[in-house]
Amino acid sequence: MPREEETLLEYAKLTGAPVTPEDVKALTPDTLTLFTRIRAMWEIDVDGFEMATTFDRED
Amino acid sequence: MSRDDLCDLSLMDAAAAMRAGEASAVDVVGAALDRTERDGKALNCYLHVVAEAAMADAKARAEELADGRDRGPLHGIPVSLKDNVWTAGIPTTGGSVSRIGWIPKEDATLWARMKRAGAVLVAKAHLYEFAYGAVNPTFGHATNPWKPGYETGGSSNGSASSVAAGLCHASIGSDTSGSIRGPAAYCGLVGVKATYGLVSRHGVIPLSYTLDAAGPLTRTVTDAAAVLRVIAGYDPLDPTTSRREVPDYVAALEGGVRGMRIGMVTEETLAVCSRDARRTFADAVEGLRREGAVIVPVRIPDMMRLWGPSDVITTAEALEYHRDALARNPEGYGPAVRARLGRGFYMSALDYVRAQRVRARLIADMDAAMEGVSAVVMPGHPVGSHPIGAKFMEVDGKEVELAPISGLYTRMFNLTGQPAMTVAAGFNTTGLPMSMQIVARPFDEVTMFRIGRAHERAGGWHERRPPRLS
Repeated sequence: MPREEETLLEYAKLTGAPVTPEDVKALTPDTLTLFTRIRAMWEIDVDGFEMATTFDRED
Repeated sequence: MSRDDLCDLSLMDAAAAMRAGEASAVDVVGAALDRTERDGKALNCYLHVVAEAAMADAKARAEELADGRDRGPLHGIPVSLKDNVWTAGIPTTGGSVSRIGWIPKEDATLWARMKRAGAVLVAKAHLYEFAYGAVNPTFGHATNPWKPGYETGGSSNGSASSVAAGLCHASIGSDTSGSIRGPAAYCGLVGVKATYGLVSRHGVIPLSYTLDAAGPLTRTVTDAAAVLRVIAGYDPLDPTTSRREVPDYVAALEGGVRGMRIGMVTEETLAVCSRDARRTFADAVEGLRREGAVIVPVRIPDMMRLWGPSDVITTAEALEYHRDALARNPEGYGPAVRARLGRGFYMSALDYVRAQRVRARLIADMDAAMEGVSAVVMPGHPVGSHPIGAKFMEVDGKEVELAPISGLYTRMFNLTGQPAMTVAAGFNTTGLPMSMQIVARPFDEVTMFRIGRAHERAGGWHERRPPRLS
Protein backbone atom coordinates (compact mmCIF):
# COMPACT_ATOMS: atom_id res chain seq x y z
CA MET A 1 0.00 0.00 0.00
CA PRO A 2 1.45 3.43 -0.91
CA ARG A 3 2.72 5.49 2.02
CA GLU A 4 -0.01 8.17 1.67
CA GLU A 5 -2.77 5.59 1.88
CA GLU A 6 -1.22 4.09 4.97
CA THR A 7 -0.99 7.59 6.41
CA LEU A 8 -4.66 8.15 5.84
CA LEU A 9 -5.60 4.95 7.59
CA GLU A 10 -3.30 5.79 10.48
CA TYR A 11 -4.91 9.21 10.62
CA ALA A 12 -8.33 7.56 10.72
CA LYS A 13 -7.23 5.36 13.59
CA LEU A 14 -5.85 8.34 15.47
CA THR A 15 -8.87 10.61 15.09
CA GLY A 16 -11.66 8.07 14.78
CA ALA A 17 -12.55 9.40 11.31
CA PRO A 18 -14.76 6.90 9.45
CA VAL A 19 -12.28 6.18 6.66
CA THR A 20 -11.95 2.75 5.08
CA PRO A 21 -9.41 1.40 2.56
CA GLU A 22 -12.15 1.68 -0.07
CA ASP A 23 -12.54 5.38 0.64
CA VAL A 24 -8.84 5.86 0.10
CA LYS A 25 -9.03 4.62 -3.46
CA ALA A 26 -11.51 7.38 -4.33
CA LEU A 27 -9.37 10.20 -3.00
CA THR A 28 -7.21 12.56 -5.04
CA PRO A 29 -3.46 12.91 -4.37
CA ASP A 30 -4.22 16.40 -3.07
CA THR A 31 -6.53 14.95 -0.43
CA LEU A 32 -3.98 12.38 0.59
CA THR A 33 -1.43 15.15 1.00
CA LEU A 34 -3.86 16.99 3.24
CA PHE A 35 -4.23 13.93 5.42
CA THR A 36 -0.47 13.55 5.65
CA ARG A 37 -0.33 17.13 6.87
CA ILE A 38 -3.16 16.57 9.32
CA ARG A 39 -1.43 13.56 10.77
CA ALA A 40 1.74 15.58 11.30
CA MET A 41 -0.33 18.30 12.94
CA TRP A 42 -1.72 15.86 15.48
CA GLU A 43 1.83 15.05 16.54
CA ILE A 44 2.50 18.63 17.70
CA ASP A 45 2.31 18.95 21.48
CA VAL A 46 -0.41 21.43 22.43
CA ASP A 47 -0.54 20.62 26.12
CA GLY A 48 -1.38 23.82 27.98
CA PHE A 49 -2.79 25.63 24.95
CA GLU A 50 -6.47 26.34 24.44
CA MET A 51 -8.08 26.72 21.04
CA ALA A 52 -7.21 30.10 19.55
CA THR A 53 -10.47 32.00 19.15
CA THR A 54 -9.32 35.57 18.69
CA PHE A 55 -6.42 36.55 16.51
CA ASP A 56 -6.35 40.32 16.64
CA ARG A 57 -3.60 40.27 19.28
CA GLU A 58 -5.21 43.08 21.27
CA ASP A 59 -3.61 43.34 24.72
CA MET B 1 9.85 63.21 -18.99
CA SER B 2 7.52 61.60 -21.55
CA ARG B 3 3.93 60.75 -20.64
CA ASP B 4 4.85 57.04 -20.62
CA ASP B 5 7.66 57.76 -18.13
CA LEU B 6 4.99 58.80 -15.61
CA CYS B 7 4.08 55.09 -15.34
CA ASP B 8 7.52 54.26 -13.95
CA LEU B 9 7.35 56.77 -11.11
CA SER B 10 6.59 55.57 -7.62
CA LEU B 11 3.17 56.50 -6.26
CA MET B 12 4.69 59.23 -4.08
CA ASP B 13 6.75 60.64 -6.98
CA ALA B 14 3.67 60.72 -9.20
CA ALA B 15 1.81 62.50 -6.38
CA ALA B 16 4.68 65.00 -6.09
CA ALA B 17 4.69 65.57 -9.87
CA MET B 18 0.99 66.47 -9.71
CA ARG B 19 1.56 68.96 -6.91
CA ALA B 20 4.55 70.48 -8.71
CA GLY B 21 2.39 71.06 -11.78
CA GLU B 22 4.55 68.73 -13.88
CA ALA B 23 1.61 66.43 -14.62
CA SER B 24 -2.10 66.26 -13.87
CA ALA B 25 -4.19 63.32 -12.72
CA VAL B 26 -5.45 63.15 -16.30
CA ASP B 27 -1.84 62.73 -17.53
CA VAL B 28 -0.98 60.10 -14.90
CA VAL B 29 -4.16 58.06 -15.32
CA GLY B 30 -4.07 58.49 -19.10
CA ALA B 31 -0.49 57.20 -19.20
CA ALA B 32 -1.48 54.17 -17.11
CA LEU B 33 -4.36 53.42 -19.48
CA ASP B 34 -2.15 53.85 -22.56
CA ARG B 35 0.34 51.39 -21.15
CA THR B 36 -2.52 49.03 -20.27
CA GLU B 37 -3.70 49.23 -23.88
CA ARG B 38 -0.16 48.45 -25.05
CA ASP B 39 0.94 45.72 -22.60
CA GLY B 40 -2.19 44.57 -20.75
CA LYS B 41 -3.08 41.71 -23.09
CA ALA B 42 0.44 40.28 -23.10
CA LEU B 43 0.54 40.34 -19.31
CA ASN B 44 -3.07 39.09 -18.91
CA CYS B 45 -3.07 40.91 -15.58
CA TYR B 46 -6.53 42.48 -15.77
CA LEU B 47 -10.01 40.96 -15.93
CA HIS B 48 -11.88 44.27 -16.40
CA VAL B 49 -10.46 47.62 -17.44
CA VAL B 50 -12.66 50.61 -16.60
CA ALA B 51 -10.99 53.16 -18.85
CA GLU B 52 -13.92 55.52 -19.39
CA ALA B 53 -14.83 55.79 -15.72
CA ALA B 54 -11.15 56.15 -14.82
CA MET B 55 -10.68 59.11 -17.16
CA ALA B 56 -13.82 60.79 -15.81
CA ASP B 57 -12.55 60.31 -12.25
CA ALA B 58 -9.09 61.55 -13.23
CA LYS B 59 -10.58 64.75 -14.68
CA ALA B 60 -12.56 65.34 -11.48
CA ARG B 61 -9.49 64.73 -9.27
CA ALA B 62 -7.37 67.04 -11.45
CA GLU B 63 -9.95 69.82 -11.13
CA GLU B 64 -10.08 69.36 -7.36
CA LEU B 65 -6.33 69.63 -7.03
CA ALA B 66 -6.30 72.72 -9.26
CA ASP B 67 -8.94 74.22 -6.92
CA GLY B 68 -6.77 73.48 -3.89
CA ARG B 69 -8.70 70.47 -2.62
CA ASP B 70 -6.00 67.91 -1.83
CA ARG B 71 -7.16 64.51 -0.58
CA GLY B 72 -3.62 63.27 0.19
CA PRO B 73 -1.01 61.11 -1.56
CA LEU B 74 -3.51 58.82 -3.30
CA HIS B 75 -5.26 61.78 -4.96
CA GLY B 76 -5.44 61.10 -8.71
CA ILE B 77 -3.33 57.93 -8.52
CA PRO B 78 -4.30 55.04 -10.83
CA VAL B 79 -4.73 51.76 -8.94
CA SER B 80 -5.96 48.25 -9.60
CA LEU B 81 -7.83 45.95 -7.21
CA LYS B 82 -7.70 42.18 -7.03
CA ASP B 83 -10.99 41.03 -8.45
CA ASN B 84 -12.18 39.63 -5.13
CA VAL B 85 -12.68 43.20 -3.85
CA TRP B 86 -16.24 44.47 -4.21
CA THR B 87 -16.64 47.50 -6.45
CA ALA B 88 -20.14 48.97 -6.67
CA GLY B 89 -21.46 48.83 -10.22
CA ILE B 90 -18.37 47.05 -11.56
CA PRO B 91 -18.22 43.26 -12.09
CA THR B 92 -16.40 41.29 -9.40
CA THR B 93 -15.71 37.70 -10.36
CA GLY B 94 -13.35 36.41 -7.70
CA GLY B 95 -11.57 34.87 -10.68
CA SER B 96 -14.37 32.33 -11.02
CA VAL B 97 -16.69 31.56 -13.90
CA SER B 98 -19.36 30.98 -11.24
CA ARG B 99 -19.42 34.73 -10.52
CA ILE B 100 -19.35 36.08 -14.06
CA GLY B 101 -22.02 38.74 -14.37
CA TRP B 102 -22.20 39.48 -10.63
CA ILE B 103 -22.06 43.18 -9.88
CA PRO B 104 -21.76 44.28 -6.24
CA LYS B 105 -24.12 46.97 -4.97
CA GLU B 106 -21.54 48.40 -2.59
CA ASP B 107 -17.82 48.94 -2.35
CA ALA B 108 -15.55 46.99 -0.05
CA THR B 109 -14.67 49.20 2.90
CA LEU B 110 -11.03 49.43 1.86
CA TRP B 111 -11.94 50.54 -1.65
CA ALA B 112 -14.46 53.07 -0.32
CA ARG B 113 -11.63 54.53 1.78
CA MET B 114 -9.20 54.63 -1.15
CA LYS B 115 -11.81 56.27 -3.31
CA ARG B 116 -12.43 58.92 -0.65
CA ALA B 117 -8.67 59.46 -0.58
CA GLY B 118 -8.79 60.24 -4.31
CA ALA B 119 -7.49 56.96 -5.83
CA VAL B 120 -8.66 56.23 -9.37
CA LEU B 121 -9.60 52.65 -10.23
CA VAL B 122 -8.28 51.63 -13.64
CA ALA B 123 -8.91 47.88 -13.54
CA LYS B 124 -9.87 44.77 -11.62
CA ALA B 125 -6.89 42.47 -11.49
CA HIS B 126 -6.51 38.79 -12.26
CA LEU B 127 -6.25 36.29 -9.41
CA TYR B 128 -6.29 32.61 -8.61
CA GLU B 129 -9.88 31.42 -8.53
CA PHE B 130 -11.29 32.66 -5.20
CA ALA B 131 -7.63 33.21 -4.23
CA TYR B 132 -7.35 29.46 -3.71
CA GLY B 133 -4.21 28.08 -5.31
CA ALA B 134 -5.06 27.77 -9.02
CA VAL B 135 -6.30 29.91 -11.88
CA ASN B 136 -9.63 29.18 -13.48
CA PRO B 137 -8.71 27.83 -16.94
CA THR B 138 -11.21 30.20 -18.57
CA PHE B 139 -9.17 33.23 -17.51
CA GLY B 140 -5.66 31.85 -18.12
CA HIS B 141 -2.51 32.95 -16.31
CA ALA B 142 -1.22 36.43 -15.57
CA THR B 143 2.48 36.65 -16.33
CA ASN B 144 5.53 38.08 -14.61
CA PRO B 145 6.75 41.31 -16.28
CA TRP B 146 10.35 40.40 -15.44
CA LYS B 147 10.08 37.34 -17.66
CA PRO B 148 6.90 36.65 -19.63
CA GLY B 149 5.71 33.07 -19.21
CA TYR B 150 7.01 33.00 -15.65
CA GLU B 151 4.97 32.79 -12.45
CA THR B 152 3.93 35.86 -10.55
CA GLY B 153 4.07 33.91 -7.29
CA GLY B 154 0.59 33.63 -5.85
CA SER B 155 -3.06 34.46 -6.01
CA SER B 156 -2.68 38.25 -6.25
CA ASN B 157 -0.96 37.64 -9.58
CA GLY B 158 -2.69 40.34 -11.62
CA SER B 159 -2.12 42.91 -8.87
CA ALA B 160 1.62 42.21 -8.81
CA SER B 161 1.95 42.01 -12.57
CA SER B 162 0.12 45.31 -13.09
CA VAL B 163 2.19 47.26 -10.53
CA ALA B 164 5.54 45.79 -11.61
CA ALA B 165 4.82 46.56 -15.27
CA GLY B 166 3.78 50.14 -14.51
CA LEU B 167 0.13 49.74 -15.51
CA CYS B 168 -0.82 51.37 -12.20
CA HIS B 169 1.02 52.70 -9.14
CA ALA B 170 -0.52 50.45 -6.49
CA SER B 171 -2.84 47.53 -6.16
CA ILE B 172 -4.72 45.74 -3.41
CA GLY B 173 -4.24 42.02 -2.96
CA SER B 174 -5.38 39.48 -0.40
CA ASP B 175 -3.19 37.09 1.56
CA THR B 176 -4.26 33.88 3.32
CA SER B 177 -0.93 32.07 3.27
CA GLY B 178 1.25 34.50 1.32
CA SER B 179 -0.74 35.70 -1.69
CA ILE B 180 0.36 39.32 -1.37
CA ARG B 181 3.93 38.60 -0.26
CA GLY B 182 4.62 35.77 -2.73
CA PRO B 183 3.73 37.83 -5.82
CA ALA B 184 5.68 40.77 -4.37
CA ALA B 185 8.69 38.45 -3.97
CA TYR B 186 8.52 37.11 -7.53
CA CYS B 187 7.85 40.50 -9.11
CA GLY B 188 10.32 42.68 -7.19
CA LEU B 189 7.69 44.65 -5.28
CA VAL B 190 6.69 45.61 -1.76
CA GLY B 191 3.80 43.50 -0.44
CA VAL B 192 2.20 44.08 2.96
CA LYS B 193 0.14 41.70 5.05
CA ALA B 194 -0.72 43.86 8.03
CA THR B 195 -1.64 42.67 11.52
CA TYR B 196 -4.84 40.62 11.62
CA GLY B 197 -7.57 43.11 12.49
CA LEU B 198 -5.84 46.20 11.09
CA VAL B 199 -7.52 46.24 7.65
CA SER B 200 -11.22 45.61 7.12
CA ARG B 201 -12.12 42.61 4.99
CA HIS B 202 -15.73 43.72 4.55
CA GLY B 203 -16.40 43.33 0.85
CA VAL B 204 -13.37 41.16 0.14
CA ILE B 205 -14.61 37.73 -0.96
CA PRO B 206 -13.42 35.49 1.87
CA LEU B 207 -11.19 32.47 1.58
CA SER B 208 -10.47 31.92 5.27
CA TYR B 209 -12.09 34.19 7.86
CA THR B 210 -9.39 33.75 10.47
CA LEU B 211 -6.37 33.93 8.15
CA ASP B 212 -7.29 36.41 5.39
CA ALA B 213 -5.68 39.82 5.12
CA ALA B 214 -6.04 42.51 2.46
CA GLY B 215 -3.18 44.88 1.75
CA PRO B 216 -1.11 46.86 -0.73
CA LEU B 217 1.35 45.88 -3.44
CA THR B 218 3.53 48.79 -4.49
CA ARG B 219 6.99 49.58 -5.84
CA THR B 220 8.32 51.25 -2.70
CA VAL B 221 7.93 50.99 1.05
CA THR B 222 6.81 54.62 1.24
CA ASP B 223 4.02 53.91 -1.27
CA ALA B 224 2.90 50.88 0.76
CA ALA B 225 2.88 52.94 3.96
CA ALA B 226 0.75 55.61 2.27
CA VAL B 227 -1.82 53.08 1.02
CA LEU B 228 -1.97 51.20 4.33
CA ARG B 229 -2.58 54.45 6.23
CA VAL B 230 -5.69 54.99 4.09
CA ILE B 231 -7.17 51.49 4.30
CA ALA B 232 -6.32 50.64 7.94
CA GLY B 233 -8.57 51.16 10.94
CA TYR B 234 -11.77 50.13 12.64
CA ASP B 235 -14.74 49.22 10.48
CA PRO B 236 -18.11 48.50 12.10
CA LEU B 237 -18.85 46.23 9.11
CA ASP B 238 -15.92 43.95 9.99
CA PRO B 239 -16.16 42.87 13.64
CA THR B 240 -12.55 41.62 13.62
CA THR B 241 -11.10 45.10 13.09
CA SER B 242 -9.22 46.80 15.89
CA ARG B 243 -10.23 50.14 17.41
CA ARG B 244 -6.59 51.20 17.81
CA GLU B 245 -5.63 54.52 16.33
CA VAL B 246 -3.78 54.16 13.00
CA PRO B 247 -0.33 55.79 13.12
CA ASP B 248 1.03 58.03 10.38
CA TYR B 249 3.24 55.36 8.82
CA VAL B 250 4.77 57.69 6.24
CA ALA B 251 5.82 60.24 8.85
CA ALA B 252 7.57 57.49 10.85
CA LEU B 253 9.39 55.95 7.90
CA GLU B 254 12.71 57.73 8.07
CA GLY B 255 13.25 56.89 11.74
CA GLY B 256 16.02 54.51 10.73
CA VAL B 257 17.27 51.36 12.42
CA ARG B 258 20.34 52.63 14.29
CA GLY B 259 20.64 50.57 17.48
CA MET B 260 17.54 48.52 16.63
CA ARG B 261 17.91 44.81 17.42
CA ILE B 262 16.73 42.78 14.44
CA GLY B 263 16.57 38.99 14.45
CA MET B 264 17.96 37.06 11.50
CA VAL B 265 16.63 33.53 11.07
CA THR B 266 19.06 30.68 11.61
CA GLU B 267 20.29 27.87 9.35
CA GLU B 268 17.29 25.60 10.15
CA THR B 269 15.03 28.09 8.37
CA LEU B 270 17.45 28.79 5.52
CA ALA B 271 18.16 25.14 4.72
CA VAL B 272 15.73 25.02 1.77
CA CYS B 273 17.03 28.25 0.17
CA SER B 274 18.82 28.43 -3.15
CA ARG B 275 22.34 29.89 -3.20
CA ASP B 276 20.86 33.02 -4.77
CA ALA B 277 18.34 33.39 -1.95
CA ARG B 278 21.10 33.00 0.64
CA ARG B 279 23.37 35.46 -1.13
CA THR B 280 20.77 38.16 -1.63
CA PHE B 281 19.45 37.72 1.92
CA ALA B 282 22.98 37.98 3.35
CA ASP B 283 23.50 41.18 1.32
CA ALA B 284 20.22 42.63 2.60
CA VAL B 285 21.15 41.85 6.21
CA GLU B 286 24.55 43.44 5.68
CA GLY B 287 22.78 46.54 4.38
CA LEU B 288 20.71 46.76 7.57
CA ARG B 289 23.90 46.38 9.59
CA ARG B 290 25.42 49.30 7.65
CA GLU B 291 22.33 51.33 8.51
CA GLY B 292 23.13 50.73 12.18
CA ALA B 293 20.94 47.73 13.09
CA VAL B 294 22.20 45.19 15.60
CA ILE B 295 21.65 41.80 13.94
CA VAL B 296 21.16 38.81 16.22
CA PRO B 297 20.33 35.20 15.34
CA VAL B 298 16.76 34.13 16.12
CA ARG B 299 15.47 30.61 15.95
CA ILE B 300 11.84 30.57 14.85
CA PRO B 301 9.39 27.61 14.86
CA ASP B 302 9.75 24.94 12.17
CA MET B 303 7.77 26.26 9.21
CA MET B 304 7.45 22.88 7.54
CA ARG B 305 5.16 21.77 10.38
CA LEU B 306 2.68 24.54 9.68
CA TRP B 307 1.24 23.11 6.50
CA GLY B 308 -1.25 21.11 8.57
CA PRO B 309 -2.89 23.86 10.62
CA SER B 310 -2.81 26.32 7.73
CA ASP B 311 -4.34 23.88 5.27
CA VAL B 312 -6.97 22.59 7.71
CA ILE B 313 -8.15 26.05 8.74
CA THR B 314 -8.20 27.36 5.16
CA THR B 315 -9.96 24.30 3.74
CA ALA B 316 -12.60 24.17 6.47
CA GLU B 317 -13.38 27.89 6.35
CA ALA B 318 -13.32 28.03 2.53
CA LEU B 319 -15.60 25.01 2.14
CA GLU B 320 -18.08 26.37 4.67
CA TYR B 321 -18.29 29.58 2.60
CA HIS B 322 -18.53 27.85 -0.80
CA ARG B 323 -20.51 24.73 0.15
CA ASP B 324 -23.92 25.81 -1.10
CA ALA B 325 -22.69 27.46 -4.30
CA LEU B 326 -20.50 24.46 -5.04
CA ALA B 327 -23.47 22.12 -4.64
CA ARG B 328 -25.67 24.31 -6.87
CA ASN B 329 -23.10 24.92 -9.60
CA PRO B 330 -20.08 22.60 -9.42
CA GLU B 331 -19.19 23.28 -13.07
CA GLY B 332 -18.87 26.97 -12.25
CA TYR B 333 -15.68 26.15 -10.36
CA GLY B 334 -12.43 25.14 -12.03
CA PRO B 335 -11.41 21.52 -11.45
CA ALA B 336 -8.42 22.38 -9.23
CA VAL B 337 -10.38 24.61 -6.87
CA ARG B 338 -13.32 22.18 -6.82
CA ALA B 339 -10.94 19.40 -5.77
CA ARG B 340 -9.28 21.56 -3.13
CA LEU B 341 -12.60 22.53 -1.62
CA GLY B 342 -13.82 18.92 -1.80
CA ARG B 343 -11.03 17.80 0.50
CA GLY B 344 -12.83 19.59 3.30
CA PHE B 345 -15.62 17.01 3.28
CA TYR B 346 -13.13 14.44 4.59
CA MET B 347 -11.93 16.55 7.52
CA SER B 348 -13.49 16.50 10.94
CA ALA B 349 -14.36 19.24 13.41
CA LEU B 350 -11.68 17.66 15.60
CA ASP B 351 -9.07 18.55 13.01
CA TYR B 352 -10.21 22.16 12.91
CA VAL B 353 -10.13 22.54 16.70
CA ARG B 354 -6.73 20.90 16.86
CA ALA B 355 -5.43 23.25 14.17
CA GLN B 356 -6.55 26.24 16.23
CA ARG B 357 -4.80 24.82 19.32
CA VAL B 358 -1.61 24.36 17.31
CA ARG B 359 -2.05 27.95 16.22
CA ALA B 360 -2.29 29.11 19.85
CA ARG B 361 0.98 27.32 20.56
CA LEU B 362 2.61 28.83 17.50
CA ILE B 363 1.61 32.35 18.60
CA ALA B 364 3.24 31.73 21.99
CA ASP B 365 6.35 30.18 20.43
CA MET B 366 6.78 33.10 18.04
CA ASP B 367 6.29 35.65 20.84
CA ALA B 368 9.04 33.87 22.78
CA ALA B 369 11.33 33.75 19.74
CA MET B 370 10.99 37.52 19.29
CA GLU B 371 11.84 38.40 22.84
CA GLY B 372 14.66 40.92 22.75
CA VAL B 373 14.28 41.88 19.08
CA SER B 374 12.03 44.41 17.36
CA ALA B 375 11.54 42.31 14.22
CA VAL B 376 12.76 39.22 12.40
CA VAL B 377 14.02 39.10 8.81
CA MET B 378 14.23 36.14 6.42
CA PRO B 379 14.23 35.56 2.67
CA GLY B 380 10.85 36.30 1.11
CA HIS B 381 10.92 32.99 -0.75
CA PRO B 382 13.47 30.18 -0.98
CA VAL B 383 13.76 30.45 -4.80
CA GLY B 384 13.04 32.92 -7.61
CA SER B 385 10.25 32.72 -10.17
CA HIS B 386 9.86 29.72 -12.51
CA PRO B 387 7.90 28.92 -15.66
CA ILE B 388 4.12 28.98 -15.24
CA GLY B 389 2.78 25.52 -14.48
CA ALA B 390 6.16 24.06 -13.47
CA LYS B 391 5.97 21.51 -10.66
CA PHE B 392 9.75 21.20 -10.28
CA MET B 393 12.67 23.50 -10.92
CA GLU B 394 16.40 23.04 -10.98
CA VAL B 395 18.02 24.75 -8.03
CA ASP B 396 21.81 24.66 -7.69
CA GLY B 397 22.00 21.50 -9.79
CA LYS B 398 19.21 19.67 -7.95
CA GLU B 399 15.59 19.18 -8.96
CA VAL B 400 13.34 20.74 -6.32
CA GLU B 401 9.59 20.15 -5.97
CA LEU B 402 7.88 23.53 -5.80
CA ALA B 403 4.65 22.66 -3.93
CA PRO B 404 6.26 21.99 -0.52
CA ILE B 405 8.13 25.31 -0.55
CA SER B 406 5.25 27.39 -1.90
CA GLY B 407 4.23 29.79 0.86
CA LEU B 408 6.71 28.15 3.22
CA TYR B 409 8.02 31.46 4.59
CA THR B 410 4.73 33.30 4.61
CA ARG B 411 1.88 31.18 5.99
CA MET B 412 3.28 31.25 9.53
CA PHE B 413 2.42 34.92 9.90
CA ASN B 414 -1.17 34.46 8.79
CA LEU B 415 -1.40 31.94 11.62
CA THR B 416 0.23 34.27 14.18
CA GLY B 417 -1.52 37.38 12.86
CA GLN B 418 1.75 39.37 12.84
CA PRO B 419 2.51 42.10 10.30
CA ALA B 420 4.84 40.91 7.54
CA MET B 421 6.18 42.72 4.49
CA THR B 422 8.15 41.47 1.50
CA VAL B 423 10.62 43.85 -0.15
CA ALA B 424 12.78 43.50 -3.27
CA ALA B 425 16.31 42.40 -2.42
CA GLY B 426 18.36 41.92 -5.57
CA PHE B 427 18.29 39.40 -8.39
CA ASN B 428 19.19 35.78 -8.95
CA THR B 429 21.69 34.63 -11.56
CA THR B 430 18.93 34.45 -14.19
CA GLY B 431 17.97 38.09 -13.59
CA LEU B 432 14.75 37.49 -11.67
CA PRO B 433 13.87 39.35 -8.46
CA MET B 434 14.72 38.00 -5.02
CA SER B 435 13.29 39.31 -1.77
CA MET B 436 13.43 39.70 1.99
CA GLN B 437 10.53 39.41 4.44
CA ILE B 438 10.32 41.63 7.51
CA VAL B 439 8.12 40.45 10.39
CA ALA B 440 7.26 42.68 13.34
CA ARG B 441 5.18 42.41 16.50
CA PRO B 442 1.39 42.72 16.23
CA PHE B 443 0.31 46.29 15.37
CA ASP B 444 3.93 47.44 15.05
CA GLU B 445 3.78 48.22 11.34
CA VAL B 446 5.82 51.35 12.07
CA THR B 447 8.89 49.25 12.89
CA MET B 448 8.29 47.02 9.88
CA PHE B 449 8.16 50.03 7.56
CA ARG B 450 11.23 51.68 9.15
CA ILE B 451 13.26 48.54 8.54
CA GLY B 452 11.94 48.28 4.99
CA ARG B 453 12.85 51.87 4.25
CA ALA B 454 16.35 51.43 5.74
CA HIS B 455 16.74 48.35 3.51
CA GLU B 456 15.76 50.46 0.47
CA ARG B 457 18.31 53.11 1.37
CA ALA B 458 21.01 50.45 1.68
CA GLY B 459 20.21 48.44 -1.45
CA GLY B 460 18.28 50.66 -3.85
CA TRP B 461 16.54 47.65 -5.44
CA HIS B 462 13.18 49.43 -5.42
CA GLU B 463 14.41 51.70 -8.19
CA ARG B 464 14.79 48.87 -10.70
CA ARG B 465 12.02 48.31 -13.25
CA PRO B 466 11.40 45.29 -15.50
CA PRO B 467 12.36 45.53 -19.18
CA ARG B 468 9.66 47.07 -21.35
CA LEU B 469 7.52 44.50 -23.08
CA SER B 470 7.30 46.46 -26.32
